[in-house]
Amino acid sequence: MRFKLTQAENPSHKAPVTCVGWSTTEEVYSAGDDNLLLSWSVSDAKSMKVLQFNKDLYPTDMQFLPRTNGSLGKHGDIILITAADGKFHILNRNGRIERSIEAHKGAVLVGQWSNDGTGFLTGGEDGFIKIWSRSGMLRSTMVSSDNSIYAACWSPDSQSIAYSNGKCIIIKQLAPNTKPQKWKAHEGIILCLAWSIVSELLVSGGEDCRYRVWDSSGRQIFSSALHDNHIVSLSWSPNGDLFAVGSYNTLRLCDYSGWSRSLDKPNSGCIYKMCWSADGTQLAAACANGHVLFAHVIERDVHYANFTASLTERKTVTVNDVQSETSEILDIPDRVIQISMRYSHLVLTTPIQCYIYNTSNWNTPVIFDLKEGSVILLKLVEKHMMLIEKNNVNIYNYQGKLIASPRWPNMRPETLKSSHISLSSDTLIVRDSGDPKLVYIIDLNGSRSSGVENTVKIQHSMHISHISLDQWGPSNHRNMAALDKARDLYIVSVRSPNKIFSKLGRKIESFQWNSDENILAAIQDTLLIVWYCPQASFDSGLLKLCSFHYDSPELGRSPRINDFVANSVSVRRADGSLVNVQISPFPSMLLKYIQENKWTEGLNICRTMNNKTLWACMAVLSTQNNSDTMDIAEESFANINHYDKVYYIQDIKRLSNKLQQKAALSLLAGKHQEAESLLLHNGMVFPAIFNNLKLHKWERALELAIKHKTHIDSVLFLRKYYLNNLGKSENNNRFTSMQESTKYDDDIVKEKIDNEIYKMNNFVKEKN
Amino acid sequence: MSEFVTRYGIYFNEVDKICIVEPDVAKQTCDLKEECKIYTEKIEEFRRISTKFMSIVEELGKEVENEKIKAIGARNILQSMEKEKESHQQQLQAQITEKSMELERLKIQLNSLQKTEMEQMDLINQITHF
Repeated sequence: MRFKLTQAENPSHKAPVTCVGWSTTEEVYSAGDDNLLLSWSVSDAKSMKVLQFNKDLYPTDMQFLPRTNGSLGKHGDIILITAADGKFHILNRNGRIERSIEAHKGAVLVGQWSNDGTGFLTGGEDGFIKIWSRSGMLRSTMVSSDNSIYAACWSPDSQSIAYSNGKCIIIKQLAPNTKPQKWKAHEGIILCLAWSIVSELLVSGGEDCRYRVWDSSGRQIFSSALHDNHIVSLSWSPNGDLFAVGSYNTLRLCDYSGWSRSLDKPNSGCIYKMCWSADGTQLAAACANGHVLFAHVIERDVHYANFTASLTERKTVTVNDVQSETSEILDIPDRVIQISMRYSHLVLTTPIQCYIYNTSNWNTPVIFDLKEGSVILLKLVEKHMMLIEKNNVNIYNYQGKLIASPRWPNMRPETLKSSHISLSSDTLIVRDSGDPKLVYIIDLNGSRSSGVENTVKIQHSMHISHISLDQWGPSNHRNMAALDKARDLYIVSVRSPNKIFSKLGRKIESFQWNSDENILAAIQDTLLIVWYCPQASFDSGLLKLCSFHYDSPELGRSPRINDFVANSVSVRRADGSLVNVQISPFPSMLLKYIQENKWTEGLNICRTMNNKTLWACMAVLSTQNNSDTMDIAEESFANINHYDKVYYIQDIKRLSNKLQQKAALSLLAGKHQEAESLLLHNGMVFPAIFNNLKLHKWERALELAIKHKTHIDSVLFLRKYYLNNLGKSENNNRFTSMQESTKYDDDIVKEKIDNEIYKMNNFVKEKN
Repeated sequence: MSEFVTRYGIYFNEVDKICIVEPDVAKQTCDLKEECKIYTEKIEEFRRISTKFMSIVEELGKEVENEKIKAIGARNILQSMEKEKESHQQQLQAQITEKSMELERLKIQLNSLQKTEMEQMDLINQITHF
């Protein structure tokens, strides 16, 4: 990935250009020390004068009002320009100055719209940061410090600001009485700061000639090598996957984790300011020699299996097939914005159209017109794909036919991030835009219109940062993996009536489902873990057995999962290099056989390879399965030396009551609630209560007993007995009150319990 | 007679014309006049020559100045060339560093892919020998 640079032959500004801004994806505004405001057409790098400012107005910063909700509302395009005389000016697109307000003593150095567009901040040489409403009314003075404010920016949620104070970065909440967070970030004065809305990373650059990437809590992710000159400007791409670094005669394109993707050395002088276009494919830079530099991101690559597609020019895509060593050149009539390849389909979007290529036929793509243009996100699953535009979300099949337009409450597509939405062939999950603990599950198989009524929501106790669905198997076994803010990874069965968050692992940095099977790969610190059967999360021992742990120095510090296709996990190291980790092909073969219900073939693999991991997988699969696979489960558990479970299965086999057998198997598979409801539905209240008692779920047991009005005394008696054994007193209010209100005789109850237990096991005993 | 006239300050010159100045003086005056005329002519000549000389020198001076400026310019260009070369070298160096980093990344990737290939070969061998 690199920049392709274009600039006008002769500089249009007669003095250094100090700021730039995009008005549309085709038009750039620039202002310089020659008091000129120019508008540029990007395609031919031609400029037009918009406005000649007053002689003493030297612009320092310019920003267009961010477009929220896809439209501009009644305010139109508003431009904020700050100037060296301590004023800021609000302009409309035609260059008419609507308002000029005295803001600071000395120059105003920064002017930044908040991300929701309701207000803006200005920072000046006098060390003040002030917050203003959109119309230019002073809301508050946030900061007054001894140092000039060289850089300031808004947090992604616009609830706090980050600013530079000498060598330190300070993050301050808008809410009063909160302690600001401050850390020393550079060896020299910090000149620029940028905070990505999407990836929530902060990048800073300064006079120590380095740029550094931080997470929002101030942990350093990356520190660059020493540059020849000060880092003067930084800008995040709107997608949050790239940022640009500007310095004297230097323009660098970096990956979000900090490593450099490409370096350009244009003859531009110092690059004072940079700005990305809204679609994230182009960048404009203000140069000290009077030029405005335009850069297009080219050579964006996507890989899948044996195919690599690369955007070689703005309108040309080259596809290489490694297997047949052929290459295809696809010419697109318009600029390509999004490119994605998965499951034998390559999908491209331009500002107005969407192109779908099948990997077996590169000549005749399916083309359809986009609803609004400017696709924000593109998600591909096996049978269909999802296009997220500013105002709507649509699911198309690969023939270009619209099959669903899902909707969910509080839907704000323009703010969606890739990690907050996931699609599978039958389900869509999406995190709420306001409440980060809430996830909506939308069933796509239901009604075609997919109204709000088939949306289910689940609530987690923590902020969820990344959700993803598995892609294979029957839809009622659909699982969601969710990573929360504490970096704990959970798995949730989204179709089961009780959606329990079951923990898979701690300190997970990133994770990814396999493209072909329901295998999950995750990075835990510097360790790569592949869970062949993540549904075994109820039993940590079993989970560990049916997983693959890869700990090697070659992964380095803080690696990330790049992709997980077939049997290879591609891991991106912190320095940007890709490392391929091969996993055993047998578990995925086993999973495939089981999915097709070919148990004998599956058993054959296990017996041939005689590998503990495989047997563990088999054990999990056979216990999770509803069909009659008890013998296989028994054999599997025997092979991984879980003799307790073998005995348990043998015990279950002796039960003649099929239902009880099923419930017991569910218990073995960790599905306690399923077992309980199975028993309750069939009128076996005592076994249900007894199971809960054995699991020490005292409250649930009592609840069931009260609900069914039986065995209350048994529950109370066993609770008392249990506490007496431990020598502890009752601390549960419900139990205390029940104990007081219910009268029972210990001996009678004991006899009753024995009786019930005998009844429960009588089939076994009769056989013996 | 002559003495009489002389007493009254009237003289006769050699061609017997009456004059009021002594003939010697008159002659000397005349000589002086002649000499003055020659002198002015000579001065005129000198002035002409010196003007010419001065203009030549001036021109030469200008030319020298020009050459000097040219020389300074050339020297500056040379220096700036050196600097330009240096900065160009720096730019190239930066790009080389960049490329070598990329090369390093690709090498790591190649290594891991080779490792994968080896593992797969092993696996194939293992399976085929069953």
